[in-house]
Amino acid sequence: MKKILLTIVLSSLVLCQFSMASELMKDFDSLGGNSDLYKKAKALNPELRTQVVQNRIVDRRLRLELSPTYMNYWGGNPYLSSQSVGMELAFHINPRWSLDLSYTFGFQNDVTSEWTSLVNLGVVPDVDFPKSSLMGFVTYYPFYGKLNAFDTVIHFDLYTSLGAGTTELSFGNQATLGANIGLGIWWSQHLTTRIGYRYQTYEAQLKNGPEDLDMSSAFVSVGYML
Amino acid sequence: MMNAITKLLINRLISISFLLSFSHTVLASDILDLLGGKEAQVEIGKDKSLTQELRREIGSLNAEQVILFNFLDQGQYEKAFYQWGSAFDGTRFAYEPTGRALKAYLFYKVGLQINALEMLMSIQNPNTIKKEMRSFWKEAAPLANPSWQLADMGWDPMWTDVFGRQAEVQVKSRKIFDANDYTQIEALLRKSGENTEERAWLEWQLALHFALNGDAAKGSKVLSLLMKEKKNFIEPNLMNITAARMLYENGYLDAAVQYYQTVDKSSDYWFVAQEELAWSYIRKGEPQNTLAVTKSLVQPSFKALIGPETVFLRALSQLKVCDYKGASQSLLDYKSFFKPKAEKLESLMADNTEPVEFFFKSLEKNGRLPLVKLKAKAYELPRYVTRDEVLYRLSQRAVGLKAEAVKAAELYSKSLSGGTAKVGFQADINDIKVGTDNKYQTAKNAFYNRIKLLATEEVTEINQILQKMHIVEAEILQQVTVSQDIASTDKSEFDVKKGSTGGKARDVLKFPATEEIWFDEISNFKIDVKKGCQISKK
Repeated sequence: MKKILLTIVLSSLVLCQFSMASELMKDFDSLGGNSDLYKKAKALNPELRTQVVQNRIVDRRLRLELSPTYMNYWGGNPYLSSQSVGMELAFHINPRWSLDLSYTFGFQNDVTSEWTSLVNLGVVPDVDFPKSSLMGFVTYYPFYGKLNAFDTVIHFDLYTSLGAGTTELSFGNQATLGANIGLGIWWSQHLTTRIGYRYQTYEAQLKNGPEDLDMSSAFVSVGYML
Repeated sequence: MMNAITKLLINRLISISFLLSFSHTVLASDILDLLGGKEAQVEIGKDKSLTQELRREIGSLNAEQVILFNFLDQGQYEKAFYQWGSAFDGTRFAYEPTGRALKAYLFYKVGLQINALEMLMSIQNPNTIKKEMRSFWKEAAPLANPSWQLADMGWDPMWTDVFGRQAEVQVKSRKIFDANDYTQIEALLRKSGENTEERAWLEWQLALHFALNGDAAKGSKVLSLLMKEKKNFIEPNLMNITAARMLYENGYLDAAVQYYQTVDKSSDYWFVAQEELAWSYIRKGEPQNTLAVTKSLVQPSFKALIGPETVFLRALSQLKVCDYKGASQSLLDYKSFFKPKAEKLESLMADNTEPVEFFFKSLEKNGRLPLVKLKAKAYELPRYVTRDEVLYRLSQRAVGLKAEAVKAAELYSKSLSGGTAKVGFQADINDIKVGTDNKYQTAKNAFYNRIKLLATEEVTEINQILQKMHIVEAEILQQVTVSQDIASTDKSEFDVKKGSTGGKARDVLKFPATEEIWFDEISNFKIDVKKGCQISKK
């Protein structure tokens, strides 16, 4: 008899538990089922402005960045193909502004096939080789963004800079003006990469007289932030 | 000639009789010496002094006992272990404290350490155990041995003389104290050594005791001492969240917010810290910040990690800024997050052991682990499983006992050749194997029951919050119906609630929030609310 009673009690408890469980599920089903409510609710929207405000991963306040750079020139003198390597030293005042010093050394100055063709025709075009260049720039970083690289977020900035300096040519030094636009990628607290375009203008001393040259170059650098 | 030999033999016999009558504790090795025999040339273990003492204690030894002590002398513990039954079963020594301590010592030496410690600690009047045996135990079982943490045992104060004060503190402080256990905690603290894990645990318990009993000032003092320790035995995130809670409870909401923000994202406490941070903002009258914080949390990928209160809190803050559309969405979010969760937990309560087994194996493999490491299975388990200290300790005991059960099975299978006098498998070793298996099953059942309890508590919580969500729904309905009457209509005084969450550094980056959320954006949302609960005149 006791066993039967115990079985009844236990069965009731189990049934009670299942019944509670199904009550809970029914209760869930009744939540949020009022479609009229949603229509009315949607008509009463406050203005919610949601932004993501996050800290920069790489701090660029009062930091130095040293970057070996490679540049490939085009434009300017059509008879000359130049490449240079150099070193950039950037002092980041803050993430918006930096002061940069750029030294490049022309390690390859070749004449082009056009120059050879003219020489074959008996005309020797004059060229003034850029040997090296030293320039200072003021750089402004107005735009930023982020990349998702294999689930690692990397910040980058687009920048532009203006500068002046001097270019050592085959026939002496010339004042030079320059401008950059580029992309700075801050991989980590120390490792950086820059890819960009540089415009330089200076006066070349040719046999027929001085000539303004507008040089373009693409550059890439891999730097270390101190 | 014959007379001379007879005389010599008689003299030798007289000498032997004399020696025997001189002492009842003639040792077998003495007899061996007297008879001119030599012990086998084996390496003598350091237990020699122990066996000498025990030989003296027992007195005359039978052959099986001699064999056992010889094994002990030679450090052949497994053989000595197998020999125990033949040597001492049914003897008075086997029931005496020293005999039981010796048996436990053999268990310990063959790798059944939890069993051994439990066996040892069950001895009444440990001070009656022979001094030599006690000192051997002390040397054999250093406090760093994990079995001290895993054995289920009480502590007779007399054991303090054997294992020292630190052992007493270590065993007693493993307890998770109640809020009213101040006297016990304080007494143990006095005995604990500086810079020990036990002391840190006790100080932690003391801080909790003060906090739970409304003495936040004392609690904060103890907690700040703990936080300043160079080596933190208590997880820093847990201390930070506790400090935040103390501040919150006492109304220091700004300070509480700062502490909640120090909890690492990688910590299991981060989600609860964020939830409580959101509560702090709502208490500060900044529902826009509560919205920003909960936006990070109420994400499908976090459904296993957040509690039901988070969604309720979000709905509440949406009501506060009259974001009825958002509040309505929160109702649906609650249903989609917690209805399946409740179903999973109910199946767990109704004996679905699969997720529990998975969790147990994860603990066995990795030790303590965060909930996210359980991946999809986390949704099938109560969300506190990885933070529950009781559960963790039960799991560790079960894992330890499982290893001992394997060891016992191995000893049993080896008993065929390992025993000396007996032939075949030894029944008493099988009893040990069965006993260890039973202990393991008991620990595992306790582990399972604890998870069931946590599941029951969570289902109850889900149900309670569900009732609150129904109230939110009713409130939305009512407010929407009368919104034209209750809303302010003066366009010139549009209320703007500026958010203050998100990055705090000088050089922050701002991005527009989109439907797609990047992982680095979590907890970096900022929400400004304009025209909340206001309607312009038309």
